[in-house]
Amino acid sequence: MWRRYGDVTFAVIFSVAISLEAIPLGYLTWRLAAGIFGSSGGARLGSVLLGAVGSTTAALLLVTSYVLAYQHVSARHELDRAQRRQQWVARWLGVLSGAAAEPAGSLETEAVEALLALRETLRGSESARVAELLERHGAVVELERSAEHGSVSGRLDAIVALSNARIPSALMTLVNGVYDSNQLISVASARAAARTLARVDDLFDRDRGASALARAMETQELPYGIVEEVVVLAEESATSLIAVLLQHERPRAPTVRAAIDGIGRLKLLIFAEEVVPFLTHADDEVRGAALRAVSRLGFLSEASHGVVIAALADEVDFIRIHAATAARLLPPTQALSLLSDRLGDRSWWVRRAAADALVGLGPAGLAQLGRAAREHADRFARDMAEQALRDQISNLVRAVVA
Amino acid sequence: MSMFEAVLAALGVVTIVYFAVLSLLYGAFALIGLRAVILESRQTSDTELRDLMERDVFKPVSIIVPAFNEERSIVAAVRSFVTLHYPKFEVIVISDGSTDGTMDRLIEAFALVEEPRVWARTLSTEPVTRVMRSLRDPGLIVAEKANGGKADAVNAGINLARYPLVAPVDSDCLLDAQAILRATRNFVKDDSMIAVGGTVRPLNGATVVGGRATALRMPRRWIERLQIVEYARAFFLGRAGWSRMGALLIISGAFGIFRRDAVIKVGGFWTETLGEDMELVMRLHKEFARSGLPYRIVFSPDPICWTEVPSDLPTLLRQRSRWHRGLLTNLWRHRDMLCNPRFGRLGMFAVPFFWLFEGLGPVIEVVGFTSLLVSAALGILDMQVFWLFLGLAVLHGMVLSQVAAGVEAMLLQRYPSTSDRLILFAASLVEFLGFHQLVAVERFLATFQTGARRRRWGAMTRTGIPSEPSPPSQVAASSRR
Repeated sequence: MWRRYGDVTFAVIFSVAISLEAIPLGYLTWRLAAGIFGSSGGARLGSVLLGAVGSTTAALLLVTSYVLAYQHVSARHELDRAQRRQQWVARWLGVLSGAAAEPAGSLETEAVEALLALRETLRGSESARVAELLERHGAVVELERSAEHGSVSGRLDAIVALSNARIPSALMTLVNGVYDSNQLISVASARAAARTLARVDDLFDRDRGASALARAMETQELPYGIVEEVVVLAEESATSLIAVLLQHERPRAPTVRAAIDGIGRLKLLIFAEEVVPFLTHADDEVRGAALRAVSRLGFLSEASHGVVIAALADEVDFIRIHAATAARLLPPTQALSLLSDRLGDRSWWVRRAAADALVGLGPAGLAQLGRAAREHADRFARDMAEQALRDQISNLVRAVVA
Repeated sequence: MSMFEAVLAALGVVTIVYFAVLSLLYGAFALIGLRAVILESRQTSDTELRDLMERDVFKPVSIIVPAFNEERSIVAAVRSFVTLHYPKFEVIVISDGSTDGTMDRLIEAFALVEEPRVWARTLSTEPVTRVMRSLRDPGLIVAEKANGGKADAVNAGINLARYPLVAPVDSDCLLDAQAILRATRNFVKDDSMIAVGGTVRPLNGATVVGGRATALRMPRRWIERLQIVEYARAFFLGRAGWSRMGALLIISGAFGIFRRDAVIKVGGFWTETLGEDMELVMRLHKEFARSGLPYRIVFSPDPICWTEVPSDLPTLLRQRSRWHRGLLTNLWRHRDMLCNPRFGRLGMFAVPFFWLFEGLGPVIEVVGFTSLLVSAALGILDMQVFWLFLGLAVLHGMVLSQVAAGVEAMLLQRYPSTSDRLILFAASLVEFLGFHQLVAVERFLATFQTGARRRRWGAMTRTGIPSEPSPPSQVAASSRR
């Protein structure tokens, strides 16, 4: 989307340009405020203005020259770099297949970029060998150093590169980055750490890394969305991470919610029982997440039936919505009856969720919808049931047309 | 010195000080905006976007397309929306009492069939007369309603929307394939996000293939070129700067994404203004600040929306007049925010700035420059001072335009040739040698027409977006009604 080079230099040049403008303008404002104007002040005002025009012209020339040079140079530069990167990809593939010799010493930027691209593309042992190459040639150490020091933009670039490299040895550097006071660095590091954690095979290292990452996220109080993303990005290591997050002494509600949502999204049945206590959590958002997780896991223990049934009558709309979705996991007769009742809920969204859940119950649910469309005491429930049935017909027609 | 001369002298001083302060402020915003763009460009990597798509961490979106007599562009626009690169979304087109062939074109192109439908009538709107679904695109819904204006049409779309995020998009716009993904990323990152605005770039001159702007070329007409500079300056410097300061007052009506519950909470778009986009953002700020709820409204330079800009002067001036009347209506409606510390930076800085430099700016500009001119003609002001001041104003504007053009050059999809860059440079010169002044006069006149002609769609003559998926065709944008 963006060219990530030359922009910082441009900002510096613009800062100089703005300063060139600001000094005479500031002086001008001050002089005018001091009451200089009219025939006697004309000459002095003129000289200040002349200075301002001169410095602004210099600013304009400076900025324009840079923009024109950037346009011209970047086009050629990108072409050259793309060619060199391609050459490096070919060479690395040769190295991996044993057809070419491994280059000696440190690598140029394009060589590292080619390796990072291969690390993303290749799988299994070849990908592991790419990781070895990155480490052996010092690219990882160099990226770690750039991720820790320098300008924010440079550090972000290095963190993204490490995120693509997913080298387990860089995990702790990335976890340390989560503690950074700059939220951009903190969030980028958390994401990169999660992606790296996903590639940690050793169980002990995985638990240690997960624990460190969870602690860092809690300390930094990262928002729900980021924690959820981190959990999902951790892939197979997510179980370790979720376990640590849920076992935290006093976990924050957003963290718990993110961990539970992660359980649902990754369909981690191993945590099915862990979700149950959160179905009655004091925080509405956490309860909602627990109901969502139950629906996604497709598992509802018998002991939790009562909780879901109670949630169907909750005062909070979105709890009833999630409860309606989860209610399809109740025994069929009970589910049909309860969902049919919810078709008459005061909230349109709950009615819609109940209708969708009935559709999800298959022929029995559709039959119930048919009955509700004809006989339900509530007009809105009849309308919603009819709508859900119509949607099913539309889907069939669409499938036929397709 | 006579009274008349003293008044002229005072006006001159006010004008020069006003210009100096404005220039310094614009410079500062530009610097802040540039920094925001640099950081934003590194925040969202391609890997991150791929992760979002692959790992199901995204929020579904309802794209709402209000349309009134858009038979020339509607099919191409809708086709571009239904083929967006996003895992879960729906497109809701609201024909707001169109009297041309808008509905017929849509019915034919997307195999629409009428379907009785129940929906939550949360926001009150003019009656929806029919709802149609596409047999080809399962995510496409088209509704027809009685004419009520753009805001009313968007409100009807919000009622029909099923997803937690709503994205009103103009029907003469195209979106980049990843625009929705990049914009919604902000909602995943931050729970308190309630609205995100994207960048709007002129489509004129671009090559469009399959509903996407694929290659950029300078349009033929200068009036279109001037708007390229204007848009770049407004979005890459202005809005990015305001957003960075946490005081963004405008999300373009052409493309923005809002949390549906937040919009409903404040009562939806207000139908009695010509600037419903800005009004909604101001109301969101106000209501959320009052309720003490954490919230964020940001501009993100990454999601890009392409729009067809006016290619003739009368249309452009009408558009600017409408925008300015909308701005003043909104500022007046929310005058309680002015210098109100309760609203923090917004109340103490952004709203006063908009009053002084945007709302009343054209008045000060026109009256001030006229007074300087008269002063110079009468010999009260040294003629050399007058010319120097004029030169300074032009040069300052050019610097900002060049910075904006520089940001544009950093986009992967930019005007590719050095000659295009030179044309942009020339455009930034031409802009301040007549064009800017012309627009200022139009806005000056609009100041005294505020309050009139509400609830109308802005009439804009269009060429229309090419709808053929291939071969590449150019938006000539020259033969308009």
